[in-house]
Amino acid sequence: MLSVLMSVLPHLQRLPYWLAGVFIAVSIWRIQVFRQRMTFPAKWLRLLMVVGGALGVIYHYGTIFGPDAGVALLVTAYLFKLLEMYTRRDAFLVVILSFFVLATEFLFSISLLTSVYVFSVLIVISAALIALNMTDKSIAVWRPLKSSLITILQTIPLLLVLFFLFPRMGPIWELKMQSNSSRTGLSDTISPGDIADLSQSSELAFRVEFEGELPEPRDLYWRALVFDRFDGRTWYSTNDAVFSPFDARQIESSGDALHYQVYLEPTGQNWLPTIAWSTISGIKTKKSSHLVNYSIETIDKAIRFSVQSYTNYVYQPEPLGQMELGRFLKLPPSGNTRAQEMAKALSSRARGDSELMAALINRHFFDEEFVYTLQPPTLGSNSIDEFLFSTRRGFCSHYAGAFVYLMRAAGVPARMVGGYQGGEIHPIGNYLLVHQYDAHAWAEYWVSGKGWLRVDPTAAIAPHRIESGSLRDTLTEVGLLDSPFSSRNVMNFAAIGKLRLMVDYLDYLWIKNVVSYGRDAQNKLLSQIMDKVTAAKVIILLSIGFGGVMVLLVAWILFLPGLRTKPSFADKQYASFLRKLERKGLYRVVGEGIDAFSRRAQEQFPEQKININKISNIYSEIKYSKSGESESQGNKSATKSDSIAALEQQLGQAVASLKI
Amino acid sequence: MNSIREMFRGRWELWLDKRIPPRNRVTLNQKRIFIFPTWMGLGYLLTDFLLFVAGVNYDNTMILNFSFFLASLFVVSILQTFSNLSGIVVSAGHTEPAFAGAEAKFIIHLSKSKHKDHHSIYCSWSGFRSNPHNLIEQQQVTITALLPTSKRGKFKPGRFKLYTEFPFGLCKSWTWLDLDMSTLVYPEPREYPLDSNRTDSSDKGNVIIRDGQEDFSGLRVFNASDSLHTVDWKAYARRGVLYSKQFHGYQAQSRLLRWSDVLVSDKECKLSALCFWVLELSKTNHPYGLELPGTIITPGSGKQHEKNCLDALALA
Repeated sequence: MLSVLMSVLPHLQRLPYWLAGVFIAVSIWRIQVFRQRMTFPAKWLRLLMVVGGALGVIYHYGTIFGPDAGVALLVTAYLFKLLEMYTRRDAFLVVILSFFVLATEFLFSISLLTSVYVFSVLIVISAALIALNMTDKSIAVWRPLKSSLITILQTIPLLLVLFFLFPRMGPIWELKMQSNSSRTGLSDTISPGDIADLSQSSELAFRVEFEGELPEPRDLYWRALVFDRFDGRTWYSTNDAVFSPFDARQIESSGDALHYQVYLEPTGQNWLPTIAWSTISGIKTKKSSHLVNYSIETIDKAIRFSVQSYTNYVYQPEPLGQMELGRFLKLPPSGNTRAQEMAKALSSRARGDSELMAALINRHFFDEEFVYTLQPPTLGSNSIDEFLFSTRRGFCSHYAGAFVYLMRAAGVPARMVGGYQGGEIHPIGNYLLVHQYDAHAWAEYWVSGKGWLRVDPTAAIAPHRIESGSLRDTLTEVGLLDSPFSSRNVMNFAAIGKLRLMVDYLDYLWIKNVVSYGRDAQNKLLSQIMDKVTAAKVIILLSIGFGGVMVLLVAWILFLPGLRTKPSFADKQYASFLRKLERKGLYRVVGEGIDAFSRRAQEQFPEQKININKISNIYSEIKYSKSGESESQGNKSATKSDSIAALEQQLGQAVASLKI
Repeated sequence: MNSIREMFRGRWELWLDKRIPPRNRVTLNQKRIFIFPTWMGLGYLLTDFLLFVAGVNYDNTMILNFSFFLASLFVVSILQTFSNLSGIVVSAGHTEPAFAGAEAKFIIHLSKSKHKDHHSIYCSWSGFRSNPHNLIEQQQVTITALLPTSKRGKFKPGRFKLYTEFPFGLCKSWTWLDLDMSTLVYPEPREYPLDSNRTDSSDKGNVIIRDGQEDFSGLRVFNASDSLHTVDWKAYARRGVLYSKQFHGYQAQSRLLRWSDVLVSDKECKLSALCFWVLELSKTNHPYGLELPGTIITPGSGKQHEKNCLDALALA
């Protein structure tokens, strides 16, 4: 019962609310049945419930296929099965279903925490299975739990062999996680307020492991998306990796490359955050002419990829084509008239110098009373005008948006770039943690001969943010943190902060070493022990490992119990005495006393009467004196053990001289 | 078709006899224990396989690991289920005969191996299925099997099965044991008249023994040694004196039940009839003898005598 509760519990947060209601109702009903306060529901009612549950799932998800709906359906069926649990077979089915439901949890999360949870539930389920098969009712409740723990301990060596050596293969047929549960993270549109929401989230976006020195925080601009279209309110990003792919001839880079690994949490989208410009290996990607890397597959589970980045580059210095120009100059046909005027004024001041123009805009943000806040006032239809001239409060995407708008209005091709900025350096793990609250937006504009140039207008009002590399620090310092229970505030407590980092480190190690252990990692590991990794060799190795572990397990389970208590010398001697008689066809009957058997043996072998008598007497004396010794004669035990040794010697001689 | 099955059965039993020869006392070890997944175990393996396929296709390492775990658990469960049965010492206990059609009693002792517990062990033996037995605290358990009998004669129920599915119910380990136990099945007692003309012992005997229990013969004054059952309470109520009822028993002149006395021709019916009369005469404490073709049991009485007679009938 508990196993059921525990295996369903983590799913509840994702499942529709009514299923949680069903879960509670069914649990209560089941407990009442157990306490004999209620009876099992009638057959028609059960049928009705199952059909209702299935319809509910279809209504909620619109399908019964795909992981979300599938799991919901499974859980529904599983819950109702509880109300139908009469026999041992039903109970067994429920246990099997528990395994299944539990495993599906991994479709949604593979973090260490989930794994630890799943593992502990496994112990409970196994214990339930053992309890089902235990018939001695006098046994304490913890016994099955203990047995299950021991059993799981025994599975570990085998599990390791399978884990390391079982040949990994690619998907036999492709299955897509069509997850429609919403995930926090960047999306391909930015409306006012989007990034502010993200900034409230302390969820991990990705981890980065650098080979060599970490770059300066100010260089950590994790480019994820480029927003090129603006409709007066929302910025849109176009995935044009197919129609306008990256052309390597347009880029010139200098300096050393950065090498790093990115462990990206599931986003439900395709973009891959990297430092521009970059080449990705390890997964299938496409790169657009905006220097954005897209994964071919939607990222529905945590992935890892290697990146090579050149931070010094000149991109597209040649004059842009008509289409490109039109695209990066396009503005909504109407609205924001004051901003247009301002752009014209600034443009005439800059006299066509785009870089001066950019500096003037930033200067404007700095000179005027612009305030960086995560809770800006709502903006109306002329959002840029309102922001620039009346509210003057906003965060990165407001500034970047206004910047791009002004640039375009002045005839300079510009675009907004979305991604993450900075990150938290893990003190132990030497890797970088990038959280959702590191989400950021900045801008790029194009200058003939110099290509695309990055500019971060937010830096104009909160330069410290860029310097320290972390929005969190900036906000704390500027006193903008207002929700006292936000995780960022909690992190101010050093101890908890350390603990959080510790947990993250373990999670990182887990994902790096266990979860990411796939075909490539296996190949890499095996190539260290063999020249050429072939499937046949892997299978041979697997068999060897499997065999070895089996020998170990057989020894552990079958022979270890015998080794725990060694039979005493006297027991051994008596056993060999018994064997001698057995060879002659005389068996000691189960439960037959030493004396009784002695008498029987003496009758059968009168010629060995004295020896048999002697052996039996000495043996019983040793046995009885031993049990008496521990009880009362504590101080005499030394002399006693001496006499036992003497008796044992006699016994040994007697057994040896016994010839039948 | 049937003959092929018979042939296989014959082969199987021959093989079993070779592998696990009949013995009085058997320690269960790998030679004697068989193991196979149960239906539930197969269902479990199917689940595991489905998870494996899901793990591969969703390219999800953790689901893959989960399926590896389930597989490992299964392998461990094989060993544990085996271990749960191995080491038990099975020995034959006593048997009790039965009349044909009734149930014969067979006692089997299971003793614990020294260093481990044994849980939920079942015994099944030609139609009999025992309750689960546990060897945890107790050193020895006794299984009393009541086996249905049908035919008269020496009853060897053959091999019985000891099995367990503990701890997970995924595998079943079992053994087929023959402890060389047997008992006798007596003919089913059936009442047939005896040919009273031909026998001189069908009427009551001549010698009257005093203080017999059969026929009331009179009253005498109660004697302290008399049984209270014999007190004539009605007489006591009438006269206020205790009287003992006196009975006469008849000392039959060695009443002999003869094969030829039974007026049916069928052999089994004859034996059934003789069985009936043996039991009837035993109840009366009457000395009786039995004459069967080839066997004569001289008259006597008592439990042992009755048993001898019944044994003779069973084996005739």
